[in-house]
Amino acid sequence: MNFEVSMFPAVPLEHSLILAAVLFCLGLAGVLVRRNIVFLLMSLEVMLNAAGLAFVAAGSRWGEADGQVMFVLILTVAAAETAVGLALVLNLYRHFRTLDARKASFMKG
Amino acid sequence: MLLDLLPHLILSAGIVIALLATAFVRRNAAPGIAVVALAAGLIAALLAAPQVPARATDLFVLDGLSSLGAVLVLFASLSIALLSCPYFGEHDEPRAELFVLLLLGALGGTVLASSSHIASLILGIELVGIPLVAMAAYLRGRERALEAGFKYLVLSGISSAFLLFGAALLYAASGSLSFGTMVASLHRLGSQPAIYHIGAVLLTAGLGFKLALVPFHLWAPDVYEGAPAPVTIFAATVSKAAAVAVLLRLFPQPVIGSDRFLFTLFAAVSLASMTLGNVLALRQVSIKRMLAYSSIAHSGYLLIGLIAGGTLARPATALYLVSYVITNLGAFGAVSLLAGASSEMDDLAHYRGLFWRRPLASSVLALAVLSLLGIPLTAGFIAKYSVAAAGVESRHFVLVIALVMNTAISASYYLRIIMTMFFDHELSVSGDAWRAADPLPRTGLAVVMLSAVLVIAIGVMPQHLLGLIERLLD
Repeated sequence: MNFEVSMFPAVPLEHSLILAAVLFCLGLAGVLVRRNIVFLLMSLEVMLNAAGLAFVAAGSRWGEADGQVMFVLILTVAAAETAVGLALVLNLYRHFRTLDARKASFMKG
Repeated sequence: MLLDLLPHLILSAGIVIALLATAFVRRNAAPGIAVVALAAGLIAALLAAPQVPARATDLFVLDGLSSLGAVLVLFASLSIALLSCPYFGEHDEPRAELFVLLLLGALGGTVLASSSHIASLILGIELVGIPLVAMAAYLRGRERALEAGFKYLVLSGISSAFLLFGAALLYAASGSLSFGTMVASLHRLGSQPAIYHIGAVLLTAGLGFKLALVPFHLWAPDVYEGAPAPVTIFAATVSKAAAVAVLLRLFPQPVIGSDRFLFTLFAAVSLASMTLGNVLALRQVSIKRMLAYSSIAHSGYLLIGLIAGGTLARPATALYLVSYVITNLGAFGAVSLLAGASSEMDDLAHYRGLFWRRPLASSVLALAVLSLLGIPLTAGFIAKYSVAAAGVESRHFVLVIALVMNTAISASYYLRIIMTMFFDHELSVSGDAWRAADPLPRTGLAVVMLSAVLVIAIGVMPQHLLGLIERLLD
């Protein structure tokens, strides 16, 4: 059940979860505040990786590899999302000649 | 077990065949392959409905709920494929990819409906979400389509992150990633309510996004308006049906009913969704935008069935979902049938006196709108009635009263659509895209007529469907 982790003092679960939560909030703030589309996508990645970190921390609490498997899954999903996102960014730039998210927003109400 | 997984396998094979055929054989082979694969998958899902729940690895469970979800998802996807052929035929874009994306989205829907593990949940959510981004922005020449795709990309990314973070917290609290053991051990736990509640709220936020429930509804109007009409149907039906199936599996009512915090949260979200959706729909002039707000309101109604405990609640929720999907296939299907290359037929002004020019399509639209409103003898009435009955049975009178009052509010904009189509005869035609000579495409017309027939059939004889649903959910 337990992995050989006793060489170093273990980081408590709460600490790593708090770190993940801080990262998550930073990413969320980035998505909400940033105007540049590329930075917006980067902030999204930060949020997803924060979730991945929380999975790894939770997995180590239970002494299971499931958390790390979930992290690999999240990486794959994030890569697919970024691939579609960057293709869309190219099209947006060709069309609007800007990477400012707010200038490319017309629908209201 | 392999037989139970047949719909998934057929769809996966269809995706590979469609891609290879497009690349090596014929450029325009994809639509036909997609239609065949979806039809075969639908037949497989209908015939292979498992008698006893079967598990396929830790990730999937195949039972009545999963086959109900798969049938709904595949029926809607098949209708969308048949409506897409004429719609995208008028545009000069190569359209092979759209059908591959549609198949991927349908596969995601069936995966979600049968998922019983966080990993398959995430796989399904992304399989529905990422193709939807690409489909929404498919007509690259349209500014609004690009904008819709980008908004959906960013907001669905945020919602996936919420869902994942919530799942990680629940895993940290419970030590299990599969739904059954996770919920059961959280039930026993109780010593760490904070982390459990935060996790549950974040997870529900991620799913609430797919349902366009109120704090997470911001994408819906823009995406519904900006996306090509058949893609709007996908967002309104397939992705919602799959999300409701997951919610039904994730939160069997004992959890919500016994937890004061979760109950208050769900009730508040339900109230906010129906009220805000209906009030904001009142001012819209774009029909797709109006139907987007109406679908937000309908998600609110549906949530009543989910939070009401008691024997009626689960069948009522499933019945509401079935009637919602069929009704919206009719409503958005008619809109997409009327839309053409030169006009999306989005402005309500385009519908002036439409009945006198397009009697069949506008009758279907009128019937679907009446069903959305919940007029007796339509599926919408039965659905609303059973959800209200479930609410009364579990004594949630505030929610039921809100449902009734919101239906009254919604009458004003639903009836406005019908009035516009039937009575503005003199004001009709000037500068709209309609050409008198062209008949509407036959297959598309057949699809929306079929959904209209189903709306009436469910409305007149609900006992068959109710019996079937009760057997499936048992």
